[in-house]
Amino acid sequence: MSEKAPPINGVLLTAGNISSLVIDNFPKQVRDRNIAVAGLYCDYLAQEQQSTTNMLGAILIQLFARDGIPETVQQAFHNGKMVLGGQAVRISELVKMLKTAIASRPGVFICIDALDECLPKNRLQLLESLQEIIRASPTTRVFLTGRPHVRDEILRYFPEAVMIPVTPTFGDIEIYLEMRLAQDPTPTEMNDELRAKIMWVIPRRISQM
Amino acid sequence: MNKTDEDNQIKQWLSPLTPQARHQSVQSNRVGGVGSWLLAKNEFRECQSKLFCSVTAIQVWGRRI
Repeated sequence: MSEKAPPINGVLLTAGNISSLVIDNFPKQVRDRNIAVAGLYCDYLAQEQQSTTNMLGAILIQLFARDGIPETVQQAFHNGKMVLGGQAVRISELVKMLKTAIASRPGVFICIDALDECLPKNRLQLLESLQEIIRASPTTRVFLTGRPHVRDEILRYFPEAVMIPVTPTFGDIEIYLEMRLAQDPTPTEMNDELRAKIMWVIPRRISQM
Repeated sequence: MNKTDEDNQIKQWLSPLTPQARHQSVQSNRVGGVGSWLLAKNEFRECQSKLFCSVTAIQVWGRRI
């Protein structure tokens, strides 16, 4: 290892990390109350596939995990099939299905990761749909992550949204470095002094970025 | 057509996306303990206990190192 700090090819605290952490930790507190948790990860590499209907549909499917697909949804599917070539499900239909599915639960938690990675048009449609769903079922909790530029859009649909700025803490950086050091491919070149130096210099340098 | 086939067709009609698969992959790459301070944050905890708290949105300054 050279004197220069090695490049660290990893992502310390991404939106995905935060969202998956939240998804995994929510059920623990709400499991007893039978609250459903539905997650969605936006991905700029999959923008074509991540249409508004596909995103809402993916949330809806997760709400069927406990009781199966309700009859009304089966019926809508069969009605769609009757049309020549099959009819794609519409946003308004999905919003209605989501409202019904949510109403049958004591509560639903929807977590959408990296909103900035979906197409602006789809993002606005998604937020508008969520707004409509929440108006109908105010016990629904929504947790969104995104880069700063989507903040104003979120506030437009959810003026009361609580914003939490996320940035790796000193502790986060230390945990991450320890993990990377444990995976060092050339451990023979490591010594206590170098290890201590890495643990001292890198967190401070990142904090100044 | 059996029930499972039909269920799968309906799911496909609703959405081809597989967020559960993505969740599992993110979950396995997560470094233990990182970000757990967020769960302890007041804004976050209060939102869970309040009767009405429509959204907790968070901004990520995605910092790559």
